[in-house]
Amino acid sequence: MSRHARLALAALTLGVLAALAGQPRPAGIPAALVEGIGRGEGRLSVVELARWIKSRRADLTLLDLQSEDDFGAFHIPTAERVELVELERRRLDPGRTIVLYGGAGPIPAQAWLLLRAKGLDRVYYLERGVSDWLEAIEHPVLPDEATEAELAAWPEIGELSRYFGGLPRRGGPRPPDGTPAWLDDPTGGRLAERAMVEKARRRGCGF
Amino acid sequence: MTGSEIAIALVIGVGFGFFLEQGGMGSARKLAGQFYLTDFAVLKVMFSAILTAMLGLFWLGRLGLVDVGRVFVPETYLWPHLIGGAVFGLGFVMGGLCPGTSCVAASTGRLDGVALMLGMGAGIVVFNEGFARVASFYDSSPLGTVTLGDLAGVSPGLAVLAVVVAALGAFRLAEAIERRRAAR
Repeated sequence: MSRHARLALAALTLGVLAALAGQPRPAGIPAALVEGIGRGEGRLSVVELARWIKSRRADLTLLDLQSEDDFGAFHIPTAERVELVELERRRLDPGRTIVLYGGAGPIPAQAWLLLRAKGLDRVYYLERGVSDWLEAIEHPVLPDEATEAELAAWPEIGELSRYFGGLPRRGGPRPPDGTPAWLDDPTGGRLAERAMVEKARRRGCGF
Repeated sequence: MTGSEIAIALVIGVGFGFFLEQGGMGSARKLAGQFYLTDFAVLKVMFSAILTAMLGLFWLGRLGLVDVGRVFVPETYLWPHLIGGAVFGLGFVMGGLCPGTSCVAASTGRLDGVALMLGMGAGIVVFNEGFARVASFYDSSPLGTVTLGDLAGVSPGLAVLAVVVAALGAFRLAEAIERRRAAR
């Protein structure tokens, strides 16, 4: 058998096996993604999202997974409503940063898993969606006897809240879980840490 | 682009040019021969490259070594692509070289390659300066990102097999024509 014939046979064999395999990727959701969502991977804080919208980040796509009625009642500025089933069919630009949110419930996390399994890397979701946005951006409250980290972060929160037409309020009861929504930073406490660093820098401690 | 991306692009570009030249694709006579059905080197080289890339990508993806979801699939604009393809083909058969092979020809000192590269540069300038006039046509008849599998309504794997069979059939046909011509 000539070299050309052997190569042709190899190509044909791989072609037939490809037809039997069907899809060019293993079926199912990769285990690493499932483990990632368990670790809180992909969660974004509403404060970070507010910063992105305020800075008019050009590569941001904000997708709202609420029902049509809930979307009509309230949605985060610049958001576009989309159904979960639509996401499977929709072709999203992998170069853009996609943020998903909804009401309470697991839908944004499910959508995150779906898009990551489709090969999109820059996908984030708001775990508690609209309720966190309302609590952290529309009506943030600096609790009585605020901690140092809360006091340090507060000026930026107040500024963000006013930018989105919210009403920041100083003084009030501490939320039941102990931490205000605007300080609950899923990105590993970067907000509080950054605020502390900024405060220390202003004091001139040489950071 | 980062430094490493530029370095990778440079290595791939030099490799691509080297293998094009080694495959005889720097010769305008050889390329024009394809259009006159006297030399099938272009068809063999291009289909071999398509088969290698397609089967490699499919199976590397299947084995989990490449994330095929991250491979860019350009969008199709039907009429602009048909007209653009016809203009490209006309330039190809008149000049005997396409953009990549004109660079290969120029780098080996062929004057026709240099002339085509100059023409290509002039074409880029004219197109950019006159873009406003053709902008609406440029974005017309969008079909989105379509693949052969999507178009035929079959799985990507079956589309791969169809391309393999088409390529092997084309190789066989080309060899038969070449043998007939040699026998004359």
